[in-house]
Amino acid sequence: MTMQARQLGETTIIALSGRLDGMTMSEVEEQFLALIEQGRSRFVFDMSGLEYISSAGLRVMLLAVKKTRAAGGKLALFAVTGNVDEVFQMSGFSTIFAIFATEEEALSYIAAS
Amino acid sequence: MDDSISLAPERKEWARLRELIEAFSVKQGLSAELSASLQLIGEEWFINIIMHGYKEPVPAEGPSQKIAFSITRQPHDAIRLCFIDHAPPFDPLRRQAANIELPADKRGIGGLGIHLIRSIADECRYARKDGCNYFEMIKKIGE
Repeated sequence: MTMQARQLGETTIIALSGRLDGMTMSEVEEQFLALIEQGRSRFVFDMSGLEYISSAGLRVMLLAVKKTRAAGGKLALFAVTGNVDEVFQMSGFSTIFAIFATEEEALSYIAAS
Repeated sequence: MDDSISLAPERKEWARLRELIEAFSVKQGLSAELSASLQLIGEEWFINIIMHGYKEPVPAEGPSQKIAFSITRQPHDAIRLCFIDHAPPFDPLRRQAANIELPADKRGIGGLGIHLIRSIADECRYARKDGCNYFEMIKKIGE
C-alpha cells in the first residue's frame, strides 16, 4: 500500500495504490487525518492504482468523506475500477461519493462552488 | 485439492491467509477477479472472527485459540472456503442486513463485511458444533 499526496492549488491529490485492507487501513487513516489537521479540506483521490479494497478500507474512505464534510470541504474520487468498483457498487458507496472517470473531471467538481 | 492453515486470532495473520488464497488461485488457474473475490470474503470473515469473536487482543495461548482455515476446489467448478473457530456462537446469516442506501452522514460500517460476503458468495452455511463456529462459503467459478 502506498499513499502519495501532492498539492495542486487548494486541492490535495491523493494517489492510493496497492491494497487497502485490514492490514493497511490504519496507515492511510493516519496520513489522511494528518492532512485534515494541517487544514486541508479539498481532496481528490486517484484510485487508478488501487487493486483491492475490503470493508476495512471502506471504513477509511467513509471516515475521509465525513471528516472532509465536517471541515466544510469537498472530496471526489476518480478511476475506480475492477474489484474496487465492484465493492463500491455492492456496498452502496458509489452513491455516497462523487466519482469521476478522470482527474480533470474530479478537479473541476472540486473547483465548482 | 485442499490447502489449509492454522491462524492465530490476530489481525496480522491476514497476510498469511491472503498469501494462501493467492497461491491457491494461481495453482488452480483462477482469474485475478475471482482470486480478489475469494480474498475479500476470506478477509471479511477472518477479521469478523477476530474483532467480534475473540475481541482482540487474545489473552491466552493454546489450541483453542487457533482458527482453522481451508480452501478447496469442489466438483462442479466451485471453490469452498471454510473457517472453524472457538469463539462464542455467532451466526452471520441471522444478522440483520446492512442498510446500504443511507447517506454518508448516517452510514456506519457495521455489518458491511457480512453484506459483502453474502453478495459475493453463492452459498453460505453456518453450524455450531462441539463448541466451534463452522462457516463455509461457496463461490462458483465462471459467474
